Amino acid sequence: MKSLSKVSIAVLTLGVLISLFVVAACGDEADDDAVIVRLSPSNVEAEAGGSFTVDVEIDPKGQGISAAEVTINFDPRVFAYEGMSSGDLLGTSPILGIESAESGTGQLLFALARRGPTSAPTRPNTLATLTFAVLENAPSGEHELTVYRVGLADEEQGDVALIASSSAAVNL
Amino acid sequence: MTLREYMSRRIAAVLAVLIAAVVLWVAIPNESSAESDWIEFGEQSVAINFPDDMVFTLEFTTDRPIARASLSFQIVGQDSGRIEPADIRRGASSTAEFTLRTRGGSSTFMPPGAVMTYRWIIEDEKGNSAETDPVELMYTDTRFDWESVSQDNITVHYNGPTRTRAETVLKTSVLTLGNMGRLLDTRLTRDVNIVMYNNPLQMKDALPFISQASSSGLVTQGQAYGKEGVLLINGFDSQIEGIVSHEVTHLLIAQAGEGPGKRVPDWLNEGLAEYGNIEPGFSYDLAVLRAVRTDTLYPLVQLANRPGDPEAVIVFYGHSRQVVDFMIDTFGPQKMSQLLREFRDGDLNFEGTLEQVYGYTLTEIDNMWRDSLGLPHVSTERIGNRPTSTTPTPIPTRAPLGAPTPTPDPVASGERASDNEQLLSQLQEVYGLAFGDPEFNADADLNADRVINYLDLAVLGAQFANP
Repeated sequence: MKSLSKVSIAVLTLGVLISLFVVAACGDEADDDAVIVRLSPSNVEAEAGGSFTVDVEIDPKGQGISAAEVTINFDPRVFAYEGMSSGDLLGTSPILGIESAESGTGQLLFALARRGPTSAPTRPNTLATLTFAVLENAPSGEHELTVYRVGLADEEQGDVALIASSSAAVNL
Repeated sequence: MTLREYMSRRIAAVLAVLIAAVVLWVAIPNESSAESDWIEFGEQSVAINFPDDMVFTLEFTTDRPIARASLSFQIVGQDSGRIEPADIRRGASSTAEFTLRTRGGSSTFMPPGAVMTYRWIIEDEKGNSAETDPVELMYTDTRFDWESVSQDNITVHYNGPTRTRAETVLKTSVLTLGNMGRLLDTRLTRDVNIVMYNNPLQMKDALPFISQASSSGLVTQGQAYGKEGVLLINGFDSQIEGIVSHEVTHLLIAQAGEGPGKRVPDWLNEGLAEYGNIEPGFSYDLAVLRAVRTDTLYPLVQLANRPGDPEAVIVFYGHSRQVVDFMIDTFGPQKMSQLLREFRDGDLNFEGTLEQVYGYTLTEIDNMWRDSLGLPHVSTERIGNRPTSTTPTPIPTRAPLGAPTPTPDPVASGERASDNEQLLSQLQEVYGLAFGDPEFNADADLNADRVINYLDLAVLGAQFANP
């Protein structure tokens, strides 16, 4: 009777472990499907009064990307948005739909679209390179640039559902 | 004495006793007043812990044993007030304290800028009560130092060096109240507090949880609280005049068409607010166009509450505005003001009032609007079943927006090309864009008018030849 209980417990434990493994594996798979939007480099060194650039990189994970709209949040007491140049993700001369960063708001919104048809997959690449100035009186320490919101259109101009994003830390 | 005489005398006797009781009740002095001599009120205060709660305290002195202390309060403009029991700390000088939660869902949330009145009620063990004089106070976002500009009954509260923007907000509000007030045949009689934040992050904690949840896809740029006469806005959106005129119109609608237990359906509320928008974008129209293409336009009868997912919300705004445009153009503004007034004051529900005023049911009006655009009627199967998929379905037999009738083509890309012609036609109409024109500069032209949905931007981009 005692040995039977031990077997039962062992089987039960094994079952729980297998279930946990399956759930974890499925979770990883779901994450693997998400299009990744990241700021690169993820750690930037800068000085008060200077400026720096970060790339907005996108890994489409096998999908085609025909347009992107990205909102970046930053501390307006530390940084000022200076400008952007488009990368190669959406071809050589993408259309700029919007570029909005009023001084003092701490929010940059921009949207770009590919000229011409899009075929899948779009290879991982840089969507845009952003330039920020560091204000003269910016306090030293670590300050974050956050990817606040992202919208992506696929090769059929439909919405891309799964998107994961990561931010960047700027050390002054 | 007959039975009838006996009964008459009994009834007369009962009536006499009742009248005497009422006379005595009125005549006997009541100790319930702010000037009771059995209690002395001391200092009272309110600590605002924005955005979580407000703590009300009252100090008082009395020789009598106290049964309970209560705070009676009402948000100005709301239909009813509340009386809540307070904690009592007894001593030589006793203290009553009550904490009012101000954060959370609609039942506890209070927007900054809301004005409330309150008074304390203290009762002794014999049932005698004493009340403090009523106090009025504004619930303030204490994270910032506020200044204000005012005109008539509108006050714009702002923080930081943003007075110029606050004046723009004030001017736009006054303009909208005039224009839309005439259209809706109403005048805003109550005081309005507009609380202007400088960015969405500042405003985030001032919004109820439900609005923060919707930020998974949309950023709230303004929110009106009609009953409270409060408007929260992000003052540094580049479309600030559009946002303010939209939200101020909501306040007018609340006054013209809402009352206790009466709520204007969301499609009309948002449609009218967009009608009042003095700086309308066209991304809503494009979203409607996309919904038509994919057959995901909801029937109006399903839009008493706005849909949840962000993309459907954009379609909902555009759809609502187009229907309101149609109703005002077709039946005149008087019918619209009559609809709101009779709904507010009458006994019928909204759809009954609409049918009484316009002579058509909501679905009939929905179909008339669809007729005007060449869209198929609302199907009876669709009513009661919100579409759940955005999978493209065969395009309608007649094209929307007066575009040439497309020939049904089983090839998806063929359909898309035809649909895109309509989209481009809209872009051309709104922007005056000429795509064959070598002078056309998509970057400059599009950026000049700000928002274009990235999905439509993708459709636009696909029209160009590969560079």
